Amino acid sequence: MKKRFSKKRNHEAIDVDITSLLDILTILLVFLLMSYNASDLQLDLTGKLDMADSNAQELTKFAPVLQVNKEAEVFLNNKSIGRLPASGSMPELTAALKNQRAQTEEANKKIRTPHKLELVNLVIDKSMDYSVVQRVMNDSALAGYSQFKFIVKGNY
Amino acid sequence: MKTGRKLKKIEKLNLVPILDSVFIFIFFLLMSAQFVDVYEIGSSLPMTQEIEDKKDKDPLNLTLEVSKDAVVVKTGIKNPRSRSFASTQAPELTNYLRELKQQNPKENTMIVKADPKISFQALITFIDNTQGDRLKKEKIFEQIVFDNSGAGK
Repeated sequence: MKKRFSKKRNHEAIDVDITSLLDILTILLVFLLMSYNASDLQLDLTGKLDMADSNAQELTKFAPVLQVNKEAEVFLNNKSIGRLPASGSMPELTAALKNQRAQTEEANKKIRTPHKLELVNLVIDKSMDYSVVQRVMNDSALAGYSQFKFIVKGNY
Repeated sequence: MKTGRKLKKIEKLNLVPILDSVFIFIFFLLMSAQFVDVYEIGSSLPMTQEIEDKKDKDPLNLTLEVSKDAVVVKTGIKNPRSRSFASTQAPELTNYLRELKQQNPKENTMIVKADPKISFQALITFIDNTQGDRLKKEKIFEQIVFDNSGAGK
Protein backbone atom coordinates (compact mmCIF):
# COMPACT_ATOMS: atom_id res chain seq x y z
CA MET A 1 0.00 0.00 0.00
CA LYS A 2 2.76 2.38 0.94
CA LYS A 3 4.70 1.52 -2.22
CA ARG A 4 1.75 2.23 -4.47
CA PHE A 5 1.22 5.63 -2.84
CA SER A 6 4.80 6.76 -3.39
CA LYS A 7 4.66 5.74 -7.08
CA LYS A 8 1.62 7.89 -7.62
CA ARG A 9 3.36 10.87 -6.03
CA ASN A 10 6.33 10.60 -8.40
CA HIS A 11 4.10 11.05 -11.44
CA GLU A 12 2.75 14.40 -10.27
CA ALA A 13 4.05 17.33 -12.32
CA ILE A 14 5.57 20.08 -10.23
CA ASP A 15 4.12 23.46 -11.05
CA VAL A 16 6.85 26.07 -10.53
CA ASP A 17 6.01 29.74 -10.80
CA ILE A 18 8.79 31.20 -12.97
CA THR A 19 7.34 34.69 -13.33
CA SER A 20 9.87 36.26 -10.92
CA LEU A 21 12.74 34.43 -12.66
CA LEU A 22 11.58 35.80 -16.01
CA ASP A 23 11.41 39.31 -14.53
CA ILE A 24 15.01 39.08 -13.36
CA LEU A 25 16.15 37.67 -16.69
CA THR A 26 14.46 40.47 -18.62
CA ILE A 27 16.08 43.16 -16.44
CA LEU A 28 19.48 41.46 -16.78
CA LEU A 29 19.02 41.22 -20.54
CA VAL A 30 18.17 44.92 -20.90
CA PHE A 31 21.11 45.93 -18.69
CA LEU A 32 23.55 43.78 -20.65
CA LEU A 33 22.21 44.98 -24.00
CA MET A 34 22.76 48.58 -22.86
CA SER A 35 26.37 47.88 -21.93
CA TYR A 36 27.13 45.87 -25.06
CA ASN A 37 30.13 47.08 -27.02
CA ALA A 38 30.70 45.87 -30.57
CA SER A 39 34.41 46.72 -30.48
CA ASP A 40 36.90 43.93 -31.15
CA LEU A 41 39.52 45.46 -28.85
CA GLN A 42 40.08 43.81 -25.48
CA LEU A 43 41.47 46.44 -23.14
CA ASP A 44 43.07 45.49 -19.82
CA LEU A 45 44.25 48.62 -18.09
CA THR A 46 47.44 48.51 -16.08
CA GLY A 47 47.55 50.02 -12.62
CA LYS A 48 48.05 53.72 -11.93
CA LEU A 49 46.46 54.81 -15.19
CA ASP A 50 43.50 57.18 -15.53
CA MET A 51 42.16 57.41 -19.05
CA ALA A 52 41.37 60.84 -20.47
CA ASP A 53 37.68 61.81 -20.61
CA SER A 54 36.19 62.64 -23.96
CA ASN A 55 32.93 62.89 -25.86
CA ALA A 56 34.30 60.79 -28.72
CA GLN A 57 31.88 58.29 -30.24
CA GLU A 58 34.08 56.16 -32.49
CA LEU A 59 34.43 52.52 -31.45
CA THR A 60 37.87 51.10 -30.80
CA LYS A 61 39.52 48.71 -33.25
CA PHE A 62 41.96 45.89 -32.81
CA ALA A 63 45.62 46.98 -32.80
CA PRO A 64 48.60 46.70 -30.42
CA VAL A 65 47.89 48.56 -27.18
CA LEU A 66 50.57 50.85 -25.82
CA GLN A 67 49.96 52.13 -22.30
CA VAL A 68 51.81 54.80 -20.34
CA ASN A 69 50.82 55.17 -16.70
CA LYS A 70 51.26 57.99 -14.15
CA GLU A 71 54.78 56.84 -13.33
CA ALA A 72 55.80 56.92 -17.03
CA GLU A 73 56.01 53.13 -17.18
CA VAL A 74 55.41 51.83 -20.69
CA PHE A 75 53.43 48.65 -21.42
CA LEU A 76 52.96 47.02 -24.80
CA ASN A 77 50.03 44.59 -24.82
CA ASN A 78 50.24 44.52 -21.01
CA LYS A 79 53.92 43.59 -20.98
CA SER A 80 56.18 46.08 -19.24
CA ILE A 81 58.83 47.61 -21.50
CA GLY A 82 60.36 49.87 -18.87
CA ARG A 83 60.20 53.46 -17.72
CA LEU A 84 60.20 56.27 -20.26
CA PRO A 85 63.45 58.27 -19.90
CA ALA A 86 63.24 61.89 -18.75
CA SER A 87 64.12 63.02 -22.26
CA GLY A 88 65.04 61.53 -25.60
CA SER A 89 63.83 58.36 -27.27
CA MET A 90 63.33 54.89 -25.80
CA PRO A 91 65.09 52.30 -28.03
CA GLU A 92 63.51 49.38 -26.07
CA LEU A 93 60.06 50.60 -27.07
CA THR A 94 61.00 50.88 -30.75
CA ALA A 95 62.51 47.38 -30.65
CA ALA A 96 59.40 45.91 -28.93
CA LEU A 97 57.12 47.59 -31.47
CA LYS A 98 59.22 46.33 -34.40
CA ASN A 99 58.91 42.83 -32.93
CA GLN A 100 55.14 43.29 -32.52
CA ARG A 101 54.84 44.49 -36.13
CA ALA A 102 56.70 41.41 -37.37
CA GLN A 103 54.35 39.19 -35.32
CA THR A 104 51.27 40.95 -36.75
CA GLU A 105 52.68 40.58 -40.27
CA GLU A 106 53.15 36.85 -39.67
CA ALA A 107 49.67 36.48 -38.18
CA ASN A 108 48.12 38.38 -41.11
CA LYS A 109 49.26 35.63 -43.49
CA LYS A 110 46.99 33.16 -41.70
CA ILE A 111 43.82 35.24 -41.40
CA ARG A 112 41.29 36.38 -43.99
CA THR A 113 40.89 39.98 -42.84
CA PRO A 114 44.39 41.22 -42.02
CA HIS A 115 44.96 43.77 -39.27
CA LYS A 116 46.36 47.19 -40.12
CA LEU A 117 50.13 47.13 -39.74
CA GLU A 118 50.64 50.83 -39.18
CA LEU A 119 48.00 51.31 -36.47
CA VAL A 120 48.69 51.45 -32.73
CA ASN A 121 46.31 52.21 -29.83
CA LEU A 122 47.68 54.66 -27.28
CA VAL A 123 46.32 54.63 -23.72
CA ILE A 124 48.02 57.46 -21.87
CA ASP A 125 47.37 58.72 -18.37
CA LYS A 126 45.45 61.99 -18.52
CA SER A 127 47.93 63.82 -16.27
CA MET A 128 50.91 63.16 -18.54
CA ASP A 129 52.40 65.99 -20.57
CA TYR A 130 51.95 66.13 -24.32
CA SER A 131 55.76 65.82 -24.60
CA VAL A 132 55.38 62.19 -23.40
CA VAL A 133 52.76 61.58 -26.11
CA GLN A 134 55.08 63.15 -28.69
CA ARG A 135 57.97 60.90 -27.69
CA VAL A 136 55.83 57.76 -27.68
CA MET A 137 54.48 58.68 -31.13
CA ASN A 138 57.99 59.37 -32.37
CA ASP A 139 59.31 55.99 -31.11
CA SER A 140 56.30 54.24 -32.65
CA ALA A 141 56.88 55.97 -35.98
CA LEU A 142 60.47 54.70 -35.96
CA ALA A 143 59.07 51.16 -35.69
CA GLY A 144 56.76 51.75 -38.67
CA TYR A 145 53.57 52.79 -36.84
CA SER A 146 52.31 56.03 -38.37
CA GLN A 147 48.66 55.94 -37.36
CA PHE A 148 47.55 56.41 -33.78
CA LYS A 149 44.31 56.00 -31.94
CA PHE A 150 44.02 57.68 -28.56
CA ILE A 151 41.89 55.46 -26.35
CA VAL A 152 39.66 57.61 -24.16
CA LYS A 153 36.85 57.18 -21.67
CA GLY A 154 33.47 58.01 -23.18
CA ASN A 155 30.21 59.45 -21.88
CA TYR A 156 31.96 62.52 -20.54
CA MET B 1 -28.22 19.24 -20.25
CA LYS B 2 -25.84 19.42 -23.16
CA THR B 3 -25.17 22.84 -24.61
CA GLY B 4 -23.11 21.61 -27.57
CA ARG B 5 -20.15 23.71 -26.55
CA LYS B 6 -16.92 22.05 -25.71
CA LEU B 7 -15.06 23.34 -22.70
CA LYS B 8 -11.70 24.66 -23.92
CA LYS B 9 -8.70 23.60 -21.94
CA ILE B 10 -6.28 26.42 -21.20
CA GLU B 11 -2.95 25.14 -22.34
CA LYS B 12 0.14 26.23 -20.46
CA LEU B 13 2.74 28.07 -22.49
CA ASN B 14 5.94 26.07 -22.97
CA LEU B 15 8.63 28.54 -21.91
CA VAL B 16 11.53 26.07 -21.90
CA PRO B 17 12.93 26.90 -25.41
CA ILE B 18 12.72 30.66 -24.88
CA LEU B 19 14.39 30.33 -21.48
CA ASP B 20 17.17 28.29 -23.08
CA SER B 21 17.80 30.95 -25.72
CA VAL B 22 17.64 33.78 -23.17
CA PHE B 23 20.25 32.04 -21.02
CA ILE B 24 22.58 31.63 -24.01
CA PHE B 25 22.03 35.27 -24.96
CA ILE B 26 22.81 36.43 -21.42
CA PHE B 27 25.98 34.37 -21.34
CA PHE B 28 27.09 35.87 -24.66
CA LEU B 29 26.34 39.42 -23.47
CA LEU B 30 28.11 38.84 -20.15
CA MET B 31 31.23 37.75 -22.00
CA SER B 32 31.22 40.82 -24.25
CA ALA B 33 30.13 43.39 -21.67
CA GLN B 34 32.36 46.40 -21.07
CA PHE B 35 31.47 48.40 -18.05
CA VAL B 36 33.66 51.37 -19.01
CA ASP B 37 32.74 52.97 -22.33
CA VAL B 38 35.93 53.19 -24.34
CA TYR B 39 36.22 55.14 -27.58
CA GLU B 40 39.02 56.28 -29.86
CA ILE B 41 40.29 59.51 -31.38
CA GLY B 42 42.23 58.94 -34.57
CA SER B 43 45.35 60.79 -35.59
CA SER B 44 48.41 60.37 -37.71
CA LEU B 45 51.88 61.77 -38.15
CA PRO B 46 52.55 64.05 -41.11
CA MET B 47 53.32 62.21 -44.34
CA THR B 48 54.37 63.66 -47.65
CA GLN B 49 52.03 63.30 -50.59
CA GLU B 50 52.32 64.50 -54.15
CA ILE B 51 49.44 66.74 -55.13
CA GLU B 52 48.53 68.57 -58.31
CA ASP B 53 49.67 72.15 -58.31
CA LYS B 54 46.49 74.19 -58.50
CA LYS B 55 47.58 77.76 -58.94
CA ASP B 56 44.13 79.25 -58.79
CA LYS B 57 43.26 78.31 -55.21
CA ASP B 58 45.24 78.82 -52.03
CA PRO B 59 45.18 75.56 -50.02
CA LEU B 60 43.61 75.83 -46.57
CA ASN B 61 46.57 74.33 -44.67
CA LEU B 62 44.68 74.63 -41.38
CA THR B 63 47.12 74.69 -38.49
CA LEU B 64 46.13 75.01 -34.84
CA GLU B 65 48.81 76.06 -32.41
CA VAL B 66 47.72 75.04 -28.94
CA SER B 67 49.20 76.33 -25.71
CA LYS B 68 47.91 76.06 -22.13
CA ASP B 69 45.35 78.83 -22.44
CA ALA B 70 45.29 79.99 -26.04
CA VAL B 71 44.81 78.70 -29.55
CA VAL B 72 46.07 80.30 -32.73
CA VAL B 73 44.35 79.18 -35.92
CA LYS B 74 46.46 79.70 -39.03
CA THR B 75 45.21 79.23 -42.59
CA GLY B 76 46.55 79.63 -46.09
CA ILE B 77 50.00 79.45 -47.65
CA LYS B 78 50.01 82.26 -50.22
CA ASN B 79 47.91 84.60 -48.11
CA PRO B 80 48.46 83.41 -44.54
CA ARG B 81 45.86 84.47 -42.01
CA SER B 82 45.69 83.82 -38.29
CA ARG B 83 43.13 84.25 -35.53
CA SER B 84 43.66 83.83 -31.80
CA PHE B 85 41.30 82.43 -29.20
CA ALA B 86 41.73 82.99 -25.47
CA SER B 87 40.76 79.47 -24.44
CA THR B 88 41.15 75.95 -25.82
CA GLN B 89 37.49 75.35 -24.96
CA ALA B 90 36.08 78.54 -26.48
CA PRO B 91 32.82 77.94 -28.39
CA GLU B 92 33.96 80.69 -30.81
CA LEU B 93 36.75 78.34 -31.90
CA THR B 94 34.25 75.64 -32.88
CA ASN B 95 32.13 78.20 -34.71
CA TYR B 96 35.17 79.55 -36.57
CA LEU B 97 36.15 76.01 -37.64
CA ARG B 98 32.55 75.44 -38.80
CA GLU B 99 32.82 78.59 -40.94
CA LEU B 100 36.11 77.39 -42.42
CA LYS B 101 34.55 74.00 -43.19
CA GLN B 102 31.64 75.69 -44.97
CA GLN B 103 34.09 77.67 -47.08
CA ASN B 104 36.24 74.58 -47.77
CA PRO B 105 33.89 71.57 -47.77
CA LYS B 106 36.46 69.27 -49.38
CA GLU B 107 39.07 69.84 -46.69
CA ASN B 108 38.98 67.52 -43.69
CA THR B 109 42.48 67.75 -42.24
CA MET B 110 43.79 69.92 -39.46
CA ILE B 111 47.36 70.08 -38.26
CA VAL B 112 47.77 70.30 -34.49
CA LYS B 113 50.92 71.87 -33.13
CA ALA B 114 50.63 71.54 -29.37
CA ASP B 115 52.77 72.92 -26.58
CA PRO B 116 54.71 69.95 -25.10
CA LYS B 117 53.82 71.14 -21.59
CA ILE B 118 50.03 70.85 -21.90
CA SER B 119 48.46 67.80 -20.29
CA PHE B 120 47.06 64.93 -22.32
CA GLN B 121 43.59 65.61 -20.88
CA ALA B 122 43.80 69.26 -22.00
CA LEU B 123 44.74 68.13 -25.50
CA ILE B 124 41.81 65.67 -25.65
CA THR B 125 39.39 68.36 -24.40
CA PHE B 126 40.73 70.72 -27.08
CA ILE B 127 40.26 68.04 -29.78
CA ASP B 128 36.69 67.45 -28.52
CA ASN B 129 36.03 71.18 -28.89
CA THR B 130 37.25 71.18 -32.49
CA GLN B 131 35.07 68.25 -33.55
CA GLY B 132 31.68 69.92 -33.11
CA ASP B 133 28.65 68.06 -31.81
CA ARG B 134 29.61 64.42 -31.90
CA LEU B 135 26.20 63.28 -30.66
CA LYS B 136 24.73 64.72 -33.85
CA LYS B 137 27.60 63.07 -35.79
CA GLU B 138 28.80 66.45 -36.97
CA LYS B 139 32.07 66.33 -38.86
CA ILE B 140 34.25 69.40 -39.16
CA PHE B 141 37.95 68.62 -39.67
CA GLU B 142 37.97 65.00 -38.58
CA GLN B 143 41.45 64.05 -39.75
CA ILE B 144 43.94 65.20 -37.15
CA VAL B 145 47.62 65.34 -38.00
CA PHE B 146 50.12 66.02 -35.23
CA ASP B 147 53.07 68.18 -36.06
CA ASN B 148 55.70 66.59 -33.84
CA SER B 149 58.68 68.45 -35.21
CA GLY B 150 61.27 68.58 -32.47
CA ALA B 151 59.90 65.55 -30.64
CA GLY B 152 62.25 62.93 -29.25
CA LYS B 153 64.93 65.43 -28.35
